[in-house]
Amino acid sequence: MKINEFDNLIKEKFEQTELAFNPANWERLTQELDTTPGSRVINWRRSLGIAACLLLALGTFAWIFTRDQKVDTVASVPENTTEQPNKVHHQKAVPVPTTEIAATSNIIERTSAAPQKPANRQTEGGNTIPASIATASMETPVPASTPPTEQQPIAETITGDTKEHNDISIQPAPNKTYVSNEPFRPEPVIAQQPKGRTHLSITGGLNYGSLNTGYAAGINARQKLGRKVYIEGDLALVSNKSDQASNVTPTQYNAYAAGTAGRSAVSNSLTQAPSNFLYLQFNPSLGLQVHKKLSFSVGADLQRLLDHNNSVKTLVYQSDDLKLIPGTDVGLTGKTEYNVSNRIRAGVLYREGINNFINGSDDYFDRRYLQVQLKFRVLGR
Amino acid sequence: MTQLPENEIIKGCQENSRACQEGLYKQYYSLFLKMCLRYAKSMEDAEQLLNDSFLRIFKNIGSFKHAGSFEGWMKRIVVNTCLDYLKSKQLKDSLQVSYAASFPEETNLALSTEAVKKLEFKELLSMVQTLPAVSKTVFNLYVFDGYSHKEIGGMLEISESTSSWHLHHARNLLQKRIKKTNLERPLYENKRV
Repeated sequence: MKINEFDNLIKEKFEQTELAFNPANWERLTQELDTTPGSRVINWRRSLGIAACLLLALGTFAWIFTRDQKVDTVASVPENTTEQPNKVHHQKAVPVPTTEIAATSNIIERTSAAPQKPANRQTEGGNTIPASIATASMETPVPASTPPTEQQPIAETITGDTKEHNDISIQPAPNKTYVSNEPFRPEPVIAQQPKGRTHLSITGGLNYGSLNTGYAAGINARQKLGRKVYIEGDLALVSNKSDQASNVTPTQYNAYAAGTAGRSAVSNSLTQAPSNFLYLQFNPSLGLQVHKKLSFSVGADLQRLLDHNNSVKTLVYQSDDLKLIPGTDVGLTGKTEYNVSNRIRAGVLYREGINNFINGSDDYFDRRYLQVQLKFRVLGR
Repeated sequence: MTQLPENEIIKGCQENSRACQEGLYKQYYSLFLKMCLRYAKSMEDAEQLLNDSFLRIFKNIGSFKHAGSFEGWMKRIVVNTCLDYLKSKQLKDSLQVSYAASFPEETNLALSTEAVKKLEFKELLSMVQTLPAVSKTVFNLYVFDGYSHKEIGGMLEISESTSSWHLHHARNLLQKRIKKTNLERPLYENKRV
C-alpha cells in the first residue's frame, strides 16, 4: 500500500464516523459564555442608537443654549464718560442643528447570502462502537445529519441599519431534545439582545459646594461597552441656591473688569440676584465597573443657566473678589457609585468648573460641588 | 422553522445570539470533536478542548471578515487551541529532543488496505492518541489538517526535517499497531467462539 493511500484510509475512517451531540457539553459552554465577554464586533445598530441619543441630548442642549443666545461680551465703555453704551451687540440665535435621517429607500430582496454547506457527515459502512468501550457518546454510522439548506429568502428593508426578517416570529423551542442528525434550525437573530446592556434610570441628588446648596433631578442612560466599561449620560435640572449673588449691568461689570471703577463703587450698585439658579445639565461620562457593585466614572459636564438674562451680569463674591457666573458652565466630573440593590444605585459626584481654564481668564466663577445621588432604574436589565 | 444561511448565523453569533451560537455548535460538534480527539489523550480532554475552541470562536467571530472559508477559519482556531494545550502539557519536553536528520524514504508500506479497513474507529483513535506527543501532532497536522512540513515546523518550532522524521515515525508506529491488532483479532475471535 502506498503512503498516500494509507493516509487517505486513515482520514476516511475518521470522516465516516459521526459523534453524537452531547447536550451536557453545550450546557457547560453556555455557563462559560455567561462569564466571558462576547464578541467585540461593533454593533452598528446599537452604536447608531447611542449616537442618536447623544445627538438628541446635544441638540436639546444646543437648542436651549441658543434659544435666547446673545453676546455675553458687551460693547466697551469709553473711559471718562458717563454715557451708557449706545448699543449692545446681539448675536442671532444659532439655528438648531437638525439631523435628517435618510428616508426609507433601498429595499433589497436578498436570496440568502451564502449557501449553507451540507453537513460533512456522510456516513458509510457499518462501524459500531460497543457501548462498553465507547468513551462517551460516539455513534457510528449516522446518516447525513443535515439536508441541503433550503434557501430562505430574506427581505431586507434597509433604513440605515434596520432589517426586517420575515421569520421574526420563530422563537426558541423550550426543552429541546438533541438528536445527532437533527437539522440545524437556529432562531432569528434579531430576537436576541444581550442582557443588561442598556439602563435607563431616574436620578436625583443633593449638592453642596461653592455656590451653596442645591438639588438635581433628571434621567440617566447607561450603555455597557464591555464587561466592565460603560458610558452614561445624565440629563438633569440642577438648582443652586445662593443668597450672596448680585446683579450688575454689563457696563458696570466691564468697568469693574477694566479696573476703572473701584470695588466699592460697584458694590454700591449691586442689586440682589435671584437666589435660585436653575441649570439644565448634560453630563456624559465614561465608567469602569471595578467591582460587582462598585463603579467609577469621569466625564464632562455642560450646564446652561435657564433663567439667564443677558441684560444683567450676575456676580458672586469669591475670595474677596467678584466673579461672573457664566451662562454656560463647563466642568469636569468624577463619580463613584454603589449598587444598593438590583434597581437602586447610590453615588457621590464631584464637580469642578473649568470656565476660567477654557476662557484663559480669571473672571468666572467656577462652580464646584459634591453631590450625593440616588438612581432608580426604570428600564433595562 | 427555517435554517438560516451561514452569513446570518455568523451575524447572529457576532451579536451574541445564543440560538445561533447553539446552532453553530451543534453543526460542527462532531467534526471538531473528532479533531480534538486526535490531539487529546481522552474524551474528557477533547470535550474541554472543543469548548475552549468554541469559546475562542465566539469571542473572536467579530474579526472574521468573510475573506475565506468560515469553516477553515474555525478549524484553524481549533487546531491552535489543541496546540496550545499540547504545548502546555505534552510537547513541552518532547520538543527539546533532537532527532536524526535523515531516514530512509519509503514510498510503500508493508500493510494491506484491508488491514486498515477492518479497523474500527475506536481502535484507530486509540492508536493515534497513544502515539508519542510530537509524532502524533505532526501526523495530525500533516495528514488530517493539511499543513506542510514548513508550516508545521513554524508552528512547533522544529525544523522541516524533524517534522518529516516525526511523520515517518508516526506512520511506522501506526503500521505496527495495525498489524498487531489484525494478528490478534482472529485469536480473540476464536477464543470467544
